[in-house]
Amino acid sequence: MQERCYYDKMKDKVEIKIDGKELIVPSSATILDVANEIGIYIPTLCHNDALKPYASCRMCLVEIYTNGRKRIVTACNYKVENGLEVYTTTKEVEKLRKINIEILLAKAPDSKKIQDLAFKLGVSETRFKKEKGNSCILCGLCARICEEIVGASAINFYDRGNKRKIGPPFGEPSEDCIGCGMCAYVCPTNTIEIIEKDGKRIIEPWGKEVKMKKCEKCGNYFIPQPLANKLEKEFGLKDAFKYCPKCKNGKG
Amino acid sequence: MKIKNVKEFEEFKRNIAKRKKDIVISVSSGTCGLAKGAEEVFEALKKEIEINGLEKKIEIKATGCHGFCQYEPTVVIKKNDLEVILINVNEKDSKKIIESALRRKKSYTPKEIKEFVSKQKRILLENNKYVDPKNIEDYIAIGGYTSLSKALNMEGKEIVEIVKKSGLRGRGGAGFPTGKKWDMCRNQKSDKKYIICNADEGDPGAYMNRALLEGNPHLIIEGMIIGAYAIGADEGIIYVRSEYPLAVKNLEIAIKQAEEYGFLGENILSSGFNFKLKIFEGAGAFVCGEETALISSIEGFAGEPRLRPPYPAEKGLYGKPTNINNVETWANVPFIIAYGWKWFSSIGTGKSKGTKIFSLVGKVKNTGLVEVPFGTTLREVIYEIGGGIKDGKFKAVQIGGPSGGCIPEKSLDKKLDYEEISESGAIMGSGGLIVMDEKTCVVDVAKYFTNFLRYESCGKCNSCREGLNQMYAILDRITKGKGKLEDLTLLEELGEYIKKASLCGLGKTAPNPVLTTLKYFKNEYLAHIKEKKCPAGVCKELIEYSIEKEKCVGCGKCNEVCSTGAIDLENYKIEKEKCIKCGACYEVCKKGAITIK
Ligand SMILES: Cc1cc2nc3c(=O)[nH]c(=O)nc-3n(C[C@H](O)[C@H](O)[C@H](O)COP(=O)(O)O)c2cc1C
Ligand code: SF4
Ligand code: SF4
Repeated sequence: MQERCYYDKMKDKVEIKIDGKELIVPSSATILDVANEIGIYIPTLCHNDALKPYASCRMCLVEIYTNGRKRIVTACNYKVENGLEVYTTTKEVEKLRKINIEILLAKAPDSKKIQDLAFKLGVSETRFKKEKGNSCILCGLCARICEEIVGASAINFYDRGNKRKIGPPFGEPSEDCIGCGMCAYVCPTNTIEIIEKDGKRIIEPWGKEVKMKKCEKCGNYFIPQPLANKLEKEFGLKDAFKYCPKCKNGKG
Repeated sequence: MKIKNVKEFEEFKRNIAKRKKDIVISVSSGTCGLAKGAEEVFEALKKEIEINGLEKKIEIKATGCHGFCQYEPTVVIKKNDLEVILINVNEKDSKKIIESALRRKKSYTPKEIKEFVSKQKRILLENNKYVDPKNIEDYIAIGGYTSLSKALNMEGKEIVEIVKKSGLRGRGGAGFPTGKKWDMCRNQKSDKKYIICNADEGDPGAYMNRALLEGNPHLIIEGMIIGAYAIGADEGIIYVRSEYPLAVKNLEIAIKQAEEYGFLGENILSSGFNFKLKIFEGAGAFVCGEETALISSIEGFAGEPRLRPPYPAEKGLYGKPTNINNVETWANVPFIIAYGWKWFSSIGTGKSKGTKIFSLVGKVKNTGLVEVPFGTTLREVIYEIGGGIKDGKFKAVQIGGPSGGCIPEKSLDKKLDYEEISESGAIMGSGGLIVMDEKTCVVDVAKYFTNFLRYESCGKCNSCREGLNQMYAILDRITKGKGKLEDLTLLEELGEYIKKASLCGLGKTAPNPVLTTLKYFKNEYLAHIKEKKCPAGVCKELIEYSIEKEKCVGCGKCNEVCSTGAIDLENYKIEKEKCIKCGACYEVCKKGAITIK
């Protein structure tokens, strides 16, 4: 039996099978898109629907068959194709996900998000050497959101192999950073911190300091100045940030 | 001068043949030859020819590497059918060499070279002895560009068919059937297609590609033009690592000459086919040799692999259908066109056809470039061509580069064949062969390669980056005597995981050194873990140096070289607390009185 496709108006449709379910889906979808749509759980860490798939955390591994050939691939960036068969819960896949989270757990032992995911996958301890002091799992969410959504491209990957890092160019606080803090919000390991004091906001570990803007009515600091400037300029919101939201709505 | 059509080309060839001199002397002047004084030898010989006014009789040329790396500089004298090979040549010998070249009536090959070439079948490398890479006419004189002229008279489809039937497989590592790959790219509908020559050769210790690029660049260029014509591409790129300056230089000259002579450019030999070729210098990361990373790097992005599909044949460079092949793969093409697919497929095994070049290094007597037909056994390569182990006993051979595998004595009768090598847990890779003797610790070797790969991974995949880091940490503690028995299962699990969970070929093969040494040399791991001993006497934390009183003659040499003053000669003792286990005393003692425990 074929289930109905989940988009009505599809230009390019392909037929696939996922965990035994036969589906017709748009050819632009990834395996993860389809799984999410029909309620099949595939764990992810470096994925965010607002961003392009990146496939660095390797959490979303699934088993696929194309033309009779078996492969293990990441669901987040694998585009569906005609005749594709996907299995999301085979023994092999489960084993790989477990050891993957064990390794992540060793890298970022204090991350609540990783601990929770490990628990969900039935892993309570890691057999690997725990790293101290550097919990960045290089998922790239911060750099990607900064580029794709914020449009600042203030931070990026540099170096390769086990020396790979994320940060501003040359390790110096970036001119392009507007202090919006999006990077900190998406970071799954709390590696990025926002510190606010004395009318300033500091984003660590990027070492970036930006001035906060004062509400012209109540005098409270409420938005980073460069962020306000950017929003005013890009969206033509002149004087939109004169007052803090409370004062603006007369609740100040 | 531009050769406009086939007729002109034939006439041109006849003219060059007439210009040939009686005696031709080639000096092997590849990177390795130059390092050992080939340039001085060349200059001395040239001067000698000039002094004696022999310029009309003797031609001298600086060629690429002849592949006898251990015996550089080497000189080949060709006098009609007669061939004399001279090894370890010194510039001071120039007078004698010229005199004997004039008198010579018999061919001569030194016994070391005889042994070395005995089981070889030198198709691709052979012409390195005869062509000056900086002179296109030399290449034309040995039949160069004749295959191109022949191919331009065929349909593209026909050429693809010939390559398919020949059984040629990619020499860059994976062994993918070349004809099939060409067909995929040929069948794409697109206004623009590219072809790429992968000359990144990042395996440490491997230099097969370098020898071809430096020594016979036109062979690769000709192969590429034929491929481009068959596929329907009008632009090609040779991606060379910038650590190969001589290769880049010789390629630049060769491309310029091929343009001048009309083999590159518009309307090649009046066929209506246009093709231009450029060089791109790579930034020197091992992972940039992976085809999708290489493409990203040409496009100006970070050298990180991409998910396939889409394959380069569908969406490659700048989103256009792209065919990418290794240097050695391209080099085979002119021969297949010249001699036919039947000839090519008669060489080799059932599924691995033709020859393969290996760089044979390590503890063998003869090192250098070895070209053998597929199907030759590892034993033949190591014991017959390589002349066996220098001193001591064979232990293992690492085949396939840093992410290849370590093969033990009992598997030496394995044939060099893509499938047979994979079955052993190793990979053919691009052709690195490192021979190890019993003084090599396999755990240390596995650690060494893992360390190389964890730095060379692009670092994107958690499995590859962190997985290899963890693998290294485990190996490190084993070599320091801090390993646990569970570590062995952990290594195995980790290895399988890294292979399956990682995106590109680097991660998918990186655990091979660990997995194969675990498979074939488990006892050695166990000795490190259980007995806290390194049987090969390599792992510093697990060995102790001592002086054997009976053998010691009291010369004091050990004392002189010891930088920490750990040697107590009076009592024939080495002070444990002071010894840093550098092994200097062991190396210097002629009497064998220093022992490792
Ligand atoms: C980490 C890595 C490094 C590689 N390095 C090279 C290289 O230096 N040269 C090469 O030809 N292929 C290299 N390859 C293989 C290429 O990805 C590709 O398969 C090859 O260029 C295809 O050409 P072929 O079919 O002629 O072998 C590498 C692959 C990986 C995974
Ligand atoms: S705070 Fe700076 S680095 Fe972080 S997302 Fe905003 S602009 Fe980018
Ligand atoms: S497997 Fe390793 S080298 Fe390949 S893409 Fe992943 S991290 Fe990079």
